[in-house]
Amino acid sequence: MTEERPAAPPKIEARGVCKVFESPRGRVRAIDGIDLVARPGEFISIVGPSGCGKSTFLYIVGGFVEASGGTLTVDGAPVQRPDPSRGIVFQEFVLFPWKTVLGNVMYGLAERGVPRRERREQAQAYIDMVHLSGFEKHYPKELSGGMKQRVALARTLIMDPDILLMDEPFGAIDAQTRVVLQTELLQIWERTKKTVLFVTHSVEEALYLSDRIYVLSGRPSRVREVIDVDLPRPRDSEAIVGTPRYGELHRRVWSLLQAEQRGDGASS
Amino acid sequence: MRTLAWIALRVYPFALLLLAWSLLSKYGILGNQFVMPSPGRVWETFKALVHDGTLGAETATTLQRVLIAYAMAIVAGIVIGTLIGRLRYVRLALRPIASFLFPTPKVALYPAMFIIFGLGSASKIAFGFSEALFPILLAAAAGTSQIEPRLLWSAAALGTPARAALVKVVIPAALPAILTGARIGLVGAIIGVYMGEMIAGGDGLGHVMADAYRTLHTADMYASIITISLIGFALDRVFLLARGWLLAWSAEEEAQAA
Amino acid sequence: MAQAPDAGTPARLGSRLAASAPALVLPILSVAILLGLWQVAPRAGWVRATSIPPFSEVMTQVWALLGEPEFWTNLAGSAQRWAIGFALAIIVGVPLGTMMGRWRPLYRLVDPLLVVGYPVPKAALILLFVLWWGAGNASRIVIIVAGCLIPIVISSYHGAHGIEPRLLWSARGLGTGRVGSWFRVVLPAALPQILSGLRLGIAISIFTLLASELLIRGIGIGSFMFTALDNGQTLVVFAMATILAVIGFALDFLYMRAVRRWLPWLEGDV
Repeated sequence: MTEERPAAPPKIEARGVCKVFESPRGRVRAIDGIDLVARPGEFISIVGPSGCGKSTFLYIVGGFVEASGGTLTVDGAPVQRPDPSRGIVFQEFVLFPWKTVLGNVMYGLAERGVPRRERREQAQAYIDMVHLSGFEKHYPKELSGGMKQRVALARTLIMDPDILLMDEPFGAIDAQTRVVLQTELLQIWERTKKTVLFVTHSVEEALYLSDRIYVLSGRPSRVREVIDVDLPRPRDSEAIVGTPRYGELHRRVWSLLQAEQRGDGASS
Repeated sequence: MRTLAWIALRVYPFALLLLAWSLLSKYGILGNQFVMPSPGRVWETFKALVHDGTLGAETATTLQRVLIAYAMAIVAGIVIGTLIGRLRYVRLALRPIASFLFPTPKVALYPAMFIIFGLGSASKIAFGFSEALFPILLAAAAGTSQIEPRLLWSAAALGTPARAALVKVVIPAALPAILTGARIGLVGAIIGVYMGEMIAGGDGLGHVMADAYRTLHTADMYASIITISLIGFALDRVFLLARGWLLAWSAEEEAQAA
Repeated sequence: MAQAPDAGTPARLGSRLAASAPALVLPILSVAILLGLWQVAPRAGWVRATSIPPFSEVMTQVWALLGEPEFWTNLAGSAQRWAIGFALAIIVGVPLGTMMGRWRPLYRLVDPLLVVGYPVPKAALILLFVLWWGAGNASRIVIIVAGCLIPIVISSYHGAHGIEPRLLWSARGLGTGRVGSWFRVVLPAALPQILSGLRLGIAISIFTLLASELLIRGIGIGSFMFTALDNGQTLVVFAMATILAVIGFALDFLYMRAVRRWLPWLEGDV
């Protein structure tokens, strides 16, 4: 397990975060002590077997779900409620279906009290940035999955959040579009240097995008291992796949996941 | 050619009705000319009623009551329904009452309402309100309770405070369901007011019907029922137009008319 | 599968009770408050006791009514007519609606009729029916059919229309014939919608029944109630309203129970 000592104060720091769900049938321990450190500007992926609670952890960081135990601080302060500084992009059901693309992207600015003309201009800029120029007046129902996620991204980025939380954002998108979106996301990240927590199923995606990968165990989940993705940047999605280092990392993460899936993990 | 067929299909019920009506009336099958006046007779009655202003006045009265009752039912239904849908305590407290009152035939409450509201406009509006309220309330409660949490989370993450989210997110998201209930409620409002006018009399289209029955002005009876049916049809069309505009963004198919 | 989730520690009894306490207390509390208000308001003079009699007096009157043979004869008569009318509506409406759902030409033919018939207030037609057929059982039964027929047809249509085609294809692939697939696939698959329509039909038909009896007196529980209104017997009116409300509720409740019991394989709500 490799975890470097943080050089700068961490952006996100989770120590022993737990989550227990109460249900009529009893309690379910979804998360059993996750430690995670994210430095400013880092791109961190979280992978793990299905149902292990990685999304739940993300929701806790976002302030949508309350942790049952442990501490979670962002910039040193505990997380209490959702905030635009921690922008979130879900896999689906993100956009407000009754608003146009422009309406969706402008939404957060309206909450901030930005005057109308400025809102429109800024929103237009972001719509252009995600390559959706011309679709401003369209409703979400008229957009493809990939286009909807671009709108979701624009809507979140326009708030200029420090942290970007992404919950398998490309999971419901076809393979070709997915690669395009991944690359665009990387470009945006390299330009803006936000701190990103990215939950995904896909090992390839995690290796292509991240600086470090947190591999979680099955439920009740803990951090199984933290993998340093020391592939050089900028990365080419096709070129890296052939490199030996990529192969080692891939095998390592993959075998960890398979072990967890089978239940060989050493979690207590 | 297709358009002709389309029009023919839409229009044939009226043609059929007129035909059957004329025949029944001519051959006195359901009764004599008095009991079943010919369409021509009814048309003459119509013209007379319009001409002397009666039809216009009575229609206006009824329409006014219907719209007031409906507006009240919409506001009350959406507000209470949303509270029930979103607030656990309200739901627990009010659900048994709502479940009890929903299948209750409101007609059973009519006499009681007469006692409380008297025999004037108030009771007729009360009838319309009572018939219209529950479909809207139940639809609002169901619709607002099934909002995708991630939609609300997205709004929260973009800076919307919880109370504001009720208006900005919950209601728009529940709008398709609410409008389905509202369409049913519209029929209820019309029926409630019309029935109230028939029973208590005074004025309005319902009163025209009941009065014509009692004074044996049978042609007026037909005029009244045709008018209220046309009003019901027209209001429904207006509703569908409004709904189409409000739900332009919705991916669902347009429900069949009726 | 990965290690079994820690499903197990049943929530401690105390915290379970605490979580479900509001679910038990609140409904009872709200009903109690409502009934309490009903009792106190007229007594305290907040509302006219002649307009709204106190709860206790209404209950006494309910008890008295239940002992009156006239009440029961009228109720029985109405119930009989309702049952016949409702049954007729089902016999005509369900087959018609389901066939419309599976055979487009029939739908195209009948739907315009439904569109025209929908906005007509059926209860009002009772006066016309009396003109044509007199005030006997015939008119009273026909009006009930007229009242609930259209909703039953529409929901049967939706139920039959929305069947996943692959369901039918599977049945045909297993050797079910045309007629067989009707009874073994179409009707069962359409059942939730049909039952939903029937539930609505119960409420509407009761409404139509009572409304028609209000307008043409003579026999029936509705006219019984309105005669009391005419005679200024406020207590009887409120007592009858209460009884009818309970009956309406009970019918709906029993209907849901029956559906759940005899058709447990139905998913979702009716």
